[in-house]
Amino acid sequence: MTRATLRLVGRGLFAGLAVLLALNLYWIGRNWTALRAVATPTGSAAPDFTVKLLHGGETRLSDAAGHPLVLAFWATWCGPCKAELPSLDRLYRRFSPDGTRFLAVNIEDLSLREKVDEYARTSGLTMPVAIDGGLLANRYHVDTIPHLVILDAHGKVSEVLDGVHEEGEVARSIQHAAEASGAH
Amino acid sequence: MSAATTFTERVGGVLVAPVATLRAIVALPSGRGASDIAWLVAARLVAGETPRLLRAIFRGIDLGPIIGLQALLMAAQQVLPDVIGILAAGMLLGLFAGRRPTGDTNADPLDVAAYAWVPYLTVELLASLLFTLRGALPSPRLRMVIDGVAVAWALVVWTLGVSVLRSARQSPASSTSKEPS
Repeated sequence: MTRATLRLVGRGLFAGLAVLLALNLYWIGRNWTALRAVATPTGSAAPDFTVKLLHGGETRLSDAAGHPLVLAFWATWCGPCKAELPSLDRLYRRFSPDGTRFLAVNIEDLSLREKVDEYARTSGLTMPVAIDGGLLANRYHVDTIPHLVILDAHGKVSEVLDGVHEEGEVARSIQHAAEASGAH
Repeated sequence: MSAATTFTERVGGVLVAPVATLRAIVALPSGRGASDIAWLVAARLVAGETPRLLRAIFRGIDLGPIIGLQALLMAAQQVLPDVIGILAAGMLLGLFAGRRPTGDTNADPLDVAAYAWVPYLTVELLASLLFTLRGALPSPRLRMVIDGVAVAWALVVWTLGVSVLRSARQSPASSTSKEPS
């Protein structure tokens, strides 16, 4: 086999990689808006929603009108989420008397409702828990969890916290949202 | 058959003329094969994971550099099994290839094992292109077949690599480093 043949085969592999890159770039071009939106931008109006609550009934974004709202996206398979939920629940008990609303949004499949319910019971969660199979997470461009979206009383995004954050830091963000709302 | 003397020729040669190409790779200076393939792994990451890498950059811009870095590392993890596979294949090849002669500065087992990954890349790349163009994912069964073919072809080249490196180490004078590219 000649060196020219070897070169041709080698170039074929590189060309394959180039074609794959081109296909990905084409896909990026067609899906630019979705790809670019990695979080709900601060200051923007929060996407509207209606979600089913774990213990029956449903809740809407408009139910929190006039109050700050903390959306906490989580899953039972997510260790960092489970580490953060107890501190969020403490913040719920601390801030809810002043009107701040909390919603722990489980992103898992609806078929796992019982598992989610069991976790919520055994971990003693007192804040409302919703489960919607990840639809709300998609609407809020949630890539990784835990992911907190803190809304002010006007339904605008005050802050997005990606990953695990200390209780004090989350408390400050909630206070900031409440102050911006004029709720406190 | 002419010896493969450039990167492109070695990549092509390991697919269509593996024994002669592996001999040429064994005659290379130590580290050359691994660095060649490191470039190819990087190219595979950029070409195959472009949306994920771009999204990681956007996450860095919108949510902070640490979040962006974490997302980049998550994207880079897509080639982690390949890298671990190459390293493990290199270690095993070192065990089977025999003792390295004193003063030998030619290819390490890792250099040879790295090139044995090229057939795996080729099969996976062809499958990716085919299914991307068709706009459908392969069924789990077909996915297993594709992975099986890719691993089997890489394993054949790796086995030839063991044989070639063993021979070179048993007769070191016949494979001195003299390759310029």
